[in-house]
Amino acid sequence: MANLSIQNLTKSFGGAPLLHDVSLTVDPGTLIAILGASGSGKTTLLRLIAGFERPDSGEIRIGGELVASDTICKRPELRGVGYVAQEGALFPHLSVADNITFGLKRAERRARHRVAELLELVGLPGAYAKRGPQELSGGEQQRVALARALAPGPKLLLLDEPFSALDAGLRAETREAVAAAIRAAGATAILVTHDQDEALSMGQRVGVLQNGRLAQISAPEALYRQPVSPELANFVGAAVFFPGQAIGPKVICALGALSLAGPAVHGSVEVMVRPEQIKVTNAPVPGSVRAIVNHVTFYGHDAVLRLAIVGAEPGDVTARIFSQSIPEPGSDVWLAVEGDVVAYAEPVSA
Amino acid sequence: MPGIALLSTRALRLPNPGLLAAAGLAAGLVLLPLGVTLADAAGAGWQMASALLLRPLVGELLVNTLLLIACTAVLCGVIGTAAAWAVERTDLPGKRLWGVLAVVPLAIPPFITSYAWISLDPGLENFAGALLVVTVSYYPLVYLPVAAALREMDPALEETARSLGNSVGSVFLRVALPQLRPALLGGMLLVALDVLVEFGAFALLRFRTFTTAIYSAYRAGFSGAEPALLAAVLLVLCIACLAAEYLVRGKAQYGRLARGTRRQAACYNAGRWKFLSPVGFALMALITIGVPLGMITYWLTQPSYAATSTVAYSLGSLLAAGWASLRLGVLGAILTLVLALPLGILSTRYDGWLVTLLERSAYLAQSIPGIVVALALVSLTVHSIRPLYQSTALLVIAYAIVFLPLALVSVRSALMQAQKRLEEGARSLGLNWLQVLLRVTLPLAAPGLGAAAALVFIAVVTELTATLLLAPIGTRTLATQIWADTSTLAFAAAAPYAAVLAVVSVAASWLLARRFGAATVFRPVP
Repeated sequence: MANLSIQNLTKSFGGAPLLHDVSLTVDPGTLIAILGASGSGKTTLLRLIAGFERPDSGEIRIGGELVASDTICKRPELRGVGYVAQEGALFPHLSVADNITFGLKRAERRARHRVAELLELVGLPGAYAKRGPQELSGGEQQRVALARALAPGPKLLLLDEPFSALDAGLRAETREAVAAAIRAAGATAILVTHDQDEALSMGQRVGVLQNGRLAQISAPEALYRQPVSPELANFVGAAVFFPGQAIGPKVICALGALSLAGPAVHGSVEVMVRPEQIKVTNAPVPGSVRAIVNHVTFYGHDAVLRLAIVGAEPGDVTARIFSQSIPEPGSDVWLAVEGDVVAYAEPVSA
Repeated sequence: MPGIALLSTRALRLPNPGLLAAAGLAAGLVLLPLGVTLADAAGAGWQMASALLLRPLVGELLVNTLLLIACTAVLCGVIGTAAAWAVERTDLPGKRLWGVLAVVPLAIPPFITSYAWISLDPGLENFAGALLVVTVSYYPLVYLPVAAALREMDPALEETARSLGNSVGSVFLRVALPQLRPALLGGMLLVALDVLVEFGAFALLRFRTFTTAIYSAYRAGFSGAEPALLAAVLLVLCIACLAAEYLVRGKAQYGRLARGTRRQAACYNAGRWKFLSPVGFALMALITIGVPLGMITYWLTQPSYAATSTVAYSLGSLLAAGWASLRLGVLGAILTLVLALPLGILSTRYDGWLVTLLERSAYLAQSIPGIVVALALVSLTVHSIRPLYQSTALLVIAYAIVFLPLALVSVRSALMQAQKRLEEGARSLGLNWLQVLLRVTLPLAAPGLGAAAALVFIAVVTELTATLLLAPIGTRTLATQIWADTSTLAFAAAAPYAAVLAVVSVAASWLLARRFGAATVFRPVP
């Protein structure tokens, strides 16, 4: 399977830019997740790669071959790109087997080429081959759509929010099955989604699209722990911000002296801490600060506390803790930060 | 408490006996011609029936009719689908205009189209002429549902097929066409039904089908048995068509597998067709709209002696015919709406086998040709209710029977506007049923009911068959005048009537379509 390389891709619609100067490469056999809110341009990116739309400028290469530029636009059927649409888009007039073999040559279609193998790959029983799409659940439809896209051996696989129409339980299960099938097929794939958990758990690398620009692209851990901007930090997960002073590898803020990740900054900074980094104890430990519990929200597997640090400027601090020992609202607790934190240079006020 | 709730729901589901009786009367009236025709046909006895039916004439009629149906349905299917694909899926220039022009032929009554062509070329009095006239009149019956189905289709299906290596042509054949099948087959069966029922266009072309044969048997003054027997055969064909249409529509709706945000449909590059297909559309518009309107205009400017026979017309007779058409149209619309309302209320507010039965029998009337209705009413009144024979009242009743299904579709959708939960909400706010009717139901349903009345009005004004058989002596409408003058080849004399009729029909349909959408106006499907 070949890789994908995109350079300076720009696309606008009716004067409004949808994608602006996007560049990215995908290595062979990897899955990259593109995370973006609705309207961020992530679906447009996929449609440009698939060939359903023409770019205004920039280049797309699949396996080294130029397929789209401001002068060239190779037709979608000649690109060898597999596409899994938001709701599977199985052909309602064809059986599961006929759907899977749809993109194959006539002789291979007749011979039901690889149907059993592909069904097994996506974790469905072979007996499903004869069923109609209407007889499948949403998750099963998505798996068949994946098998269909993989059948012709595409150079690249595009997944357009493939799990968004599924309910929570089915989503996790289908996600795992799809990820396993893609790994087993050794396919190069791009997944676009608006779901942070999905992007972080499935992508070997994760890119974030914001307003048509690729804000950051890195390994999921790096994206979560060291987002390049406060906005990105908020988008990728929950975040708590404190004003602070950076001195060398340390930063001083309401939570005490914390160690910094990434390149050192100096002077006034904004410190970003993930709520699960804040440890809550009933008794003081070295380096901890005292706080009062204002509010508790219970989620089952964990709980979120809203706290006020004693002696600090008024404002809530959010901490996420295991739900085994939840302090009462109004009680005194001690907070300590585990791991490194990120600091952003304060925006220059006008 | 749950017991009480259950009881009250049940109580609501029981229709008012008065409403039930009114709906029953409407359904019974609609089924009356069916009963009379079958009774008359059965009255002939087995021997006479077999003698009358097993004649070469009947064989010829069957071949003529079925061959014409098959050719028309296929031609309409091909033209309608190609036009719909071009308008809905390609970037051909001016597609909105072509989309409108593809629907306009439905507003021109087929016998006017027939008049235009035969006055252009008398050599069209044959199969080819008949095929031409019905194809140009009815291909929108395929275009409309197929275009709607293309709009409804999930664009992701076609995109996925392309990413799997299919060209646009292959996508059409392998993905779009299979899903268009219900719309396409349904449209073709409607075309078949309309060809079966059509009388005026064929009579003017002197092409023999069942309808024209029934008419000549009736005019020749044969006993009631022969026209009734022919009518019974025609009825069997019509009901078969309607049943097939019902099956196609009911069974094969694939629908969308999933619901979700819908993107704009694909728009393919028309390529070398980009400049060829507008030429095709322009040619179609010329044939379907240009010739009828052009020929009317041509004959308007000719002195009446220019035609083969000289029948002069006067402004007085034009006004009289116009007035007669207007009066019958209004009376017909009122009676049809009055009969359709109880059926509509019943079928939108209640359910149960009785309601279903009543509603279905009203729709069955769709398959009863106007000529059969007229013939049955003649037979019934001549034998049993003599004073009604050739009265305006009987003609208006015939209109109501023929156009009840048409009105019922619009009445139903109008009443759906006033949803039951709104009425229940009003009741819970302390209004009684009459106040609910006046303050909630009627204001919400009024535009749709108005549209239903307007549709029936247009249909009555352009109706020829029943008018011809049942109009009181001395009553001449626009349609019967065109018929009389064209039958005697007085094309110029017929032109003013045809012009008024075409203008009224096209203008009224246009206004309705602008307000309610083309599909609901031109072919309401139950």
